[in-house]
Amino acid sequence: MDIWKDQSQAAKKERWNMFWAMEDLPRPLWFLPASPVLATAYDWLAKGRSVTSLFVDRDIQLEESLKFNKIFEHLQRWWSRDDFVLHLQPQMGVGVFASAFGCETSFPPDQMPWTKFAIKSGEPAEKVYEIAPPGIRDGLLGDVLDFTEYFQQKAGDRYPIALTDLQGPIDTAYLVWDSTDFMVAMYDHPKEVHHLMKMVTDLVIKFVNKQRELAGEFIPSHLSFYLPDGCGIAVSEDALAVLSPQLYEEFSLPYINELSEEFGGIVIHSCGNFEHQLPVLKKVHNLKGINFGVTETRFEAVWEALGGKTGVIPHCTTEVIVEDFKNTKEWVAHVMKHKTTNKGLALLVIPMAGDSREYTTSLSDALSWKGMHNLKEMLFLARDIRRMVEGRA
Amino acid sequence: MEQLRKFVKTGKAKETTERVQVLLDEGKEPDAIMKDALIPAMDEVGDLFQKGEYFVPEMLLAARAMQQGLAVLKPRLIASGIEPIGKVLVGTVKGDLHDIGKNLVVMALEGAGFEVIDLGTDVPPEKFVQAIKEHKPKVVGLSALLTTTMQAMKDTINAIKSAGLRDRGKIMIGGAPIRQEFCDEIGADFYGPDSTSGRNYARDVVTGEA
Repeated sequence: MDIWKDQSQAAKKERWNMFWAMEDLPRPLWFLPASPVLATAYDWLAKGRSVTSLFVDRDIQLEESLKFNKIFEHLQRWWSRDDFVLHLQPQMGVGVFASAFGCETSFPPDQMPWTKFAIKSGEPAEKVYEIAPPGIRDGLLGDVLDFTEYFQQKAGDRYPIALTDLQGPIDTAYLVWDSTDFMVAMYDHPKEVHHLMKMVTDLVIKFVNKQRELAGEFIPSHLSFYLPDGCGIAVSEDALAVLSPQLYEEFSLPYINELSEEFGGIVIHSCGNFEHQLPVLKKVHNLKGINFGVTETRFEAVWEALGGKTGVIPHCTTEVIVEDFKNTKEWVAHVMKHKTTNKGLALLVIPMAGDSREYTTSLSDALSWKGMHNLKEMLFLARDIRRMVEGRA
Repeated sequence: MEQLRKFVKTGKAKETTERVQVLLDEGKEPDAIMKDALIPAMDEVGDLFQKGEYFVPEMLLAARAMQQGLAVLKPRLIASGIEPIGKVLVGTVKGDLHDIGKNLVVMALEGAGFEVIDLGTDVPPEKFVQAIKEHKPKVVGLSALLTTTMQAMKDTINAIKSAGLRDRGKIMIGGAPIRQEFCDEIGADFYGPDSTSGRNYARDVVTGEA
């Protein structure tokens, strides 16, 4: 089969395998962020429907995910023909690891899940020693494992199962410890910060290995791009943007490297502008990829530092720090103009309705009312992006 | 004064409070300590942040040093009859628990001599309305980090309008997903991409330049 024409999930996985192996590609990969639970949640929120049950009820989460996947599979075949790999993902928000440290988590009807600090503002740094190293079923983690097992039993033969939301060790640490106090503690209480970082890292390693064991075919990424098991692990690492290179190197790099050593590489996502960290990122052991917003960190800067050597996965969001783009096609064209090879390049395309500047947060959002008023643009968007990534436009 | 500026800039809280006390004991006017050391030091810190030489932890450290120095100075400022340059009400809007951005704005404003009423995070519109009635601020600052919660800024402004308080002061907004277009759309007066621009806008409001 010609894996570049074939629309099967197997062919899409093959394309990603070539991507992660840093092989020469006939075109960059591109994909819509169709993670089923998040896409459904944003759709429900836009319609004013409560999202609580979606996050807490495993039957509803599975049923809605399967429904979404079925629709998206048709959309992929007949409309987008993008490189997204369909999967299931047990999803309870960004705070699942923090919950294991005693953080209170809530699932409001009109918001994504929340978590509150376990070490509150003004509490002494030494409080970190009162937290016992959590087990892999503490907090919400037990539920995530149960969801994983249930999804595997019910639909594991149809879809791989992706890692639950993994905020990296430092992002989790400042969900556990009041984030303002945590930042200051890096100067005042470095020992306590390292103590917490080590506990989070140990927990992540133990938990991910357990989730992998239960998942069957496992995707060690929560970030909507396909990552084959054994090729590394994906983490959100938004601290990149807010810390100096010195602090990042002292407080996060050792733990990121520990995860990388454990899982055979690491893919890092960060929001914000992290251009100042590009030299430090070169010190990450076996950095497999980087995912970032082109309006927040310049594509050219990332490409110059890492392009062709590691996976580069740009996307476009509402946050504008360094550069603005009028619409989806404009930023895709920008990336295509500045890339020097297709090797290790994949574009994460969050649909945007024409030139309305209404960025959408999910595919289902784009295909609901926001997209419908610009239906023509949406219909042609996928065709135009395909042409652009193939160098035909 | 130079040494005090340096202590604030480098986030040395203990040395800052000690230096403020020494300057007071030497007979320096509290107003002069504020205007010639604390405010310029925080201005410099804001500039370093905008230039990408300081990051969030360094800003927070400096702001903490300034706040502790200010605590020593405050009773003397009050005794001298020196008033804050204005009152600002700030909070992270309903549904949003993020507070680093808001805290940076609070610290920048306090460093500039404002009295700040901080309503915290997850603040419902009616609480903003109540606090405006109670404190009569010149400026109200709304913060949000998420695309899903930024809509609560609109609800808050609408609640302020419905309560007939919109013309009592200016409303500034900020947070990662916010853009000027959104500011215009929801009828806020100012969008600040960082704490320094928020502080500068509040200054312009009290001096009548905005």
